[in-house]
Amino acid sequence: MKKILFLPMILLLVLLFAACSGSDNEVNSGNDDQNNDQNNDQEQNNDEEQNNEQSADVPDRDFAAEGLPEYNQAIGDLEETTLEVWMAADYIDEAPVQDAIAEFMEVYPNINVETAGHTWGDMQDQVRLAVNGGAPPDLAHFHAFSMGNQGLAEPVDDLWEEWGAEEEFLPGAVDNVTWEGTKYGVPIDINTTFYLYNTEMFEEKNLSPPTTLEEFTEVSIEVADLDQGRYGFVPAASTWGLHGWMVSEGAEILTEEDGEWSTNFTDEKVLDVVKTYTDIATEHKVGPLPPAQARQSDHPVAMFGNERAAAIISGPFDISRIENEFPEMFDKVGTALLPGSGKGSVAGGGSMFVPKDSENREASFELMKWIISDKYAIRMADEMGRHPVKAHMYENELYADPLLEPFIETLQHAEQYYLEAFPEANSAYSDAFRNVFDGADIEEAFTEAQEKAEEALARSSNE
Amino acid sequence: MISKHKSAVYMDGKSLLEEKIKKKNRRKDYLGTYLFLTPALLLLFTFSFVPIIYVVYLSFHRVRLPDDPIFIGIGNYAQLMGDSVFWRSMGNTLIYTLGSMSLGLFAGLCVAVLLNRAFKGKRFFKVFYFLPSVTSDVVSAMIFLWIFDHNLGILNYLLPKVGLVEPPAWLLDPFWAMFILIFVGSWRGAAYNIPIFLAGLEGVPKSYYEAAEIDGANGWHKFWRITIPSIMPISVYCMVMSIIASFQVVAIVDVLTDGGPDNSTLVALKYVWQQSFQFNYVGYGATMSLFIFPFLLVMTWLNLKLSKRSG
Repeated sequence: MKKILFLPMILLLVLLFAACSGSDNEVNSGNDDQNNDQNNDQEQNNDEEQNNEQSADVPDRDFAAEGLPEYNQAIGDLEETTLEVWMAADYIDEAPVQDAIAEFMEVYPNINVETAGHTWGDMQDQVRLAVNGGAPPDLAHFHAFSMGNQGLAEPVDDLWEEWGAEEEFLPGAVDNVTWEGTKYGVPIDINTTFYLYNTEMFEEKNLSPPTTLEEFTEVSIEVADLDQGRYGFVPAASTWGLHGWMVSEGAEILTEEDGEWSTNFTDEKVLDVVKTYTDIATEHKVGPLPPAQARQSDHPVAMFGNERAAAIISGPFDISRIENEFPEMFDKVGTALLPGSGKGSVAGGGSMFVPKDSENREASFELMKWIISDKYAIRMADEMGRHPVKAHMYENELYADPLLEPFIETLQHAEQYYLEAFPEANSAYSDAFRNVFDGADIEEAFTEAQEKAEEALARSSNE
Repeated sequence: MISKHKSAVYMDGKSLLEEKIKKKNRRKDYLGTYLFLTPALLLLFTFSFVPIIYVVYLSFHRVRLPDDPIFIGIGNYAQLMGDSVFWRSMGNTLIYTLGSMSLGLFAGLCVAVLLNRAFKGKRFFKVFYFLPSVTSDVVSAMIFLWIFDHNLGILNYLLPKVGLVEPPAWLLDPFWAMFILIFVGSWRGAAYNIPIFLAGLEGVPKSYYEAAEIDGANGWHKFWRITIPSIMPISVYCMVMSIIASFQVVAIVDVLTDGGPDNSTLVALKYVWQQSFQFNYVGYGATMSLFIFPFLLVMTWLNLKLSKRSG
């Protein structure tokens, strides 16, 4: 019995050791070389035949007329390739993105695309782990400028040049993929933040949307009806959201001089904006304290959609969301520019990039072109509320919607939230902002954040 | 005489031969044992020992992936000693551990005692009470989020209706936030402990209680003098498992408080994750992990020691 058990055991070990020996160790005799040459010739002929077949398979379609990128022979000629694509979960499962990928695979049958959804907030860490672990996906979705700065994305300047389409893009969108002059990806969508208010509540009190920070406080107090459980405004503890106000007020939290980055968290303008914004909840109590969770975007929409708040700050993506989730109040929604100079907002949206050391850079870049092609970009705008990155798309009748006016107006002035490229400094800034809502003194909190950020930036510049 | 001598030699020779055969067989047995153990040992070595050794190696280096590690001696350890956030996170973890372990054990034992009687629907309740421990951490945390959220939670919707006009912002208050985390942890812990305690209670011989009754013991005496000592080994096991599980808590904190307000619920593993993977201080993260590791090791050792003594 023992012997019988030994046999499979030994066999297993032999197999294990055999598997460990590399396939590179093939030794050929002189005769074998000759045979190999013949085989190589045959393989070459087969490849040529295959290439001819593939070239013959070029689809007879007018891609440009369909709003799609031209057929790329170099991609069509690639060997069988599988692309691993990681995108935010609220993008990858949506029909426009899925359809774009399906049609791409139809046109390039040699390319297979496997997709996975990740939480937007986790994407940066997930990609970092994958890159550092030596198993990067072929295409991922975040802010390419931030990934480029951290050495987690492949530069794609050569592919942009080959494409020759940069002129078509909105400058703010290209900023999302550019770090210190190098492009690291292709923008997928763009958004800005603006003021969303309940027109019925404002009319009741005979109010107009605020245009300055002082007016913002006054209007928020006046429109609130706390006895009825109605807040004037719902603040969020999101520094990305706050950045729109900073831009609008001309406050700079991050500056660059001769390639050296420095933070200005204790700048008077910065502290003024933070104070006005947080006072709504902490001092005047006409806004709720933001929830404790890292994700801040759901809470304001839920409060506004349930008519428990008169106003919020958000982007065009939440217009579609309110329409879908709170249809009964959608006709009461009004939009206006952010209170402040009227010439500022934060540029949002995201971009696709090729993670560092991915082997399929060209094919991934081609897929990016398909996802943001006119055909699918307009569907993403219409069905997902994710707006195009190419300027000419805004001529579409979709943008005649008055609710989108502040969005289109701020597209010209919106600035990227570059602090995101420095995770440690960003974390210090975000913690300080959160702590002010939780009762911390503004100056103390931001002085501490400034010190932490300076240390972090010094460390990263030394590396 | 000669033949006798010959026979002795023969006998000795035979015993030598037998000894040799026995040795050979024993060697064969060992070889077989090791051959069978090899795959499991290889896996254990590759996925447990190698990473632990690697973590020790990393703890003496400054590691910013994808760059090569730079040897810095005890630099990370020195930094750890002065890192107030780490010590705070360790303190929070201890508070959470003590709270969730005690409450989880107490609640688990109470429910198990109640279930340890004959009544209709007992099987249903056994399964019902076990459910939280097979539900994922995130789902459990989401349930409590929708109870305790200060704006949209059901609790703050109901409290004003019964006269409490300004209920607290539960998850934004350091005391309540930690209390809720402990509550969620002990809720899950109790669910895990109930079937174990129940099995222990069912194993206590009825004759002990009958003898105690004859001696005039009341219910309380029987519980303290018979039930508790009888289930002590199981209680120790539950206690140690609770401590180990509590030290590994992250998801519940992530969903409910994100470590706030002002780091008052930041637990050690969340801080390790943040330093290692969010800020890419892999060497420093490894050092912190090594600091947590002995705690768990001591607990496991304690478990074995106490279980043995109780046995």
